[in-house]
Amino acid sequence: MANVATFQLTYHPHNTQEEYDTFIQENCSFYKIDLLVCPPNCDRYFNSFEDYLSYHKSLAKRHFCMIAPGFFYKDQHHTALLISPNGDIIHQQQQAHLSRWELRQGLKRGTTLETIDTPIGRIGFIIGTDCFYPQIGRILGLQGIDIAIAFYQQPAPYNSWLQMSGVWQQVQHNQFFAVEAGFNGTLGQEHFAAESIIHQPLGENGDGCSQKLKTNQNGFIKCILDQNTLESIKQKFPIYKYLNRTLYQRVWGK
Amino acid sequence: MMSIIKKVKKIGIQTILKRLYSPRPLEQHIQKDMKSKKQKVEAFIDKELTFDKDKIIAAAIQVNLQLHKSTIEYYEHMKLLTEKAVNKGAQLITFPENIHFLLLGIIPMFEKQLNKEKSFIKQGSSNEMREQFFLLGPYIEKIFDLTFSTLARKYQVYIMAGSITVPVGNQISNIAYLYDPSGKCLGTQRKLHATPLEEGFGLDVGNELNVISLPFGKIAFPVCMDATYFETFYLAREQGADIVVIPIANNEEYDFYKAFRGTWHRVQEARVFGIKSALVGKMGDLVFTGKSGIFAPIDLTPQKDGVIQEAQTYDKEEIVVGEVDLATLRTYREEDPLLSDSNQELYDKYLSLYNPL
Repeated sequence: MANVATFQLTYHPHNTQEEYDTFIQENCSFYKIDLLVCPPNCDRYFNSFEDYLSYHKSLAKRHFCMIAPGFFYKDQHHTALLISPNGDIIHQQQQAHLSRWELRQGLKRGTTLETIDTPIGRIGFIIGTDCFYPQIGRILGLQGIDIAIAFYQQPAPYNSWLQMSGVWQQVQHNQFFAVEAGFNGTLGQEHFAAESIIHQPLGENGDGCSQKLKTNQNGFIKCILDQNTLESIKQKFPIYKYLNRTLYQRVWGK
Repeated sequence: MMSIIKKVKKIGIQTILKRLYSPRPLEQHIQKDMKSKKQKVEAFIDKELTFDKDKIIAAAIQVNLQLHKSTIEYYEHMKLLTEKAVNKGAQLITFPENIHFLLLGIIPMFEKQLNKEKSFIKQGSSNEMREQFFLLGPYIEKIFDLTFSTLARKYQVYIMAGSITVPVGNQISNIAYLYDPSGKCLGTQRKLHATPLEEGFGLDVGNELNVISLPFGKIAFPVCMDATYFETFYLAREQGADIVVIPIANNEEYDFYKAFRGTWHRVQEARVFGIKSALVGKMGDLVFTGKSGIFAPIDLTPQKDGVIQEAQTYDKEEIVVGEVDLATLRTYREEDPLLSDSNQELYDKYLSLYNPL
């Protein structure tokens, strides 16, 4: 069992660290939470990268939970971190695919995609544009992740079909859980809109979304992810069992 | 002694099947049909058959699983659907997976037997199913080929005739067929990913994805479960496919989200047009559901929902017709804001994980 949570807070360039902290204190319930996923760009509430890092490290230690504090732009990469309940950075990931706009901004691709074992299972990251590349979910799935931490950031107006074509399909396609934090707000001249969703693979029924925050709806959601349920879903519909490795090896895995 | 009885029984069944599925009555029917409707048929034929390179009208046929009592009845059913699609302007017409199921009604008492014994597709009956595919396959294949080859020629259209599960040597394969307007079979595609049920009766999957050039673009036509795997569409796109047709026969009650996991998402990822044709209806206690449709990348659809046209129902016969604008797709690919990237270094490093450790 894993208790996971995420929150959504619309960002405006005038927002401050105090406002961010107040929102977390007033809205986020850390009781029994194992993992909290913060929205992309939450570093922008802070005066410096060091402040951002130290705030989330303290938060993790105070509530003894893992924290993924969004993703941020540094050294020409979109990078995400995972902080342990002891306040240590235990995992880092860079976005591996870039949109045309990101390429024009001079961003670079990461070329590794590692996972990390934690007390609540194996975890990997899906960052920004990577949400739309099925190779990412497959690589993470082949490494046996239980939970994907995902960050969704797309320009407004919001299109639910576009978001569904991202992490939702990666979850169904590879049968892992995902905590997807969406970015709402303004960066420069661009407006962004997203939903934040806790995903699970489809079982007997449901829509694959255990919890959801609508676009621009500030709030907090949490969910218990049950490993036994995941295993039984995989047993009933064992997608990986029928991978056609002979076919794929013509292109990959040579 | 037992094996001799078994052999004699098998020969007896083969003799009956040979008579029941003889192509001769259908051949005679087709000859008559072509003659009597010659004028009408000619109306469909453009003397200098040309296809617009940039745009075509496609039809995804949603076929009701109606058990026919004769090969002629089957042909007439497929003809009616094709004709309706052609009347709506379709130049590429697609049919569902396991389209030969409709021919099983020719077997005397088949329907009664189904109702009596419930589904023969159940656990523990895999060997029986395998035997049935071996017995019926050769006869069904002839009727199927005769039907769709004739219809493609008669209406001067490309037909992806759906798939049939038939023996190939000593293996069973699920194979889809593509016919050109002269009635020639341009190519086939073996299903590349099995379902648990198919694994049960030993379906032999293919290891090649074929992409065929047509006057208006390149087309691939993998089968049903193949759309669950992004790799199928990725390989199709790598080989230049513009259109991927997916015949399906989904044996479960309809659920929007379960049905949503396949073709629609693959179309978004691979930046191709997707055409899905569903077999719907009941055969004994087996229920087949699905919504046929024509799909495109979200940005190319009027409602920004990735759907050009989709069936209204998931359990009734329908013809879904839509425009496939290949020129717009090609331009879009060149300017694709989101999915024009590739990270070969990453793939080289990690996709070797496909190899079992």
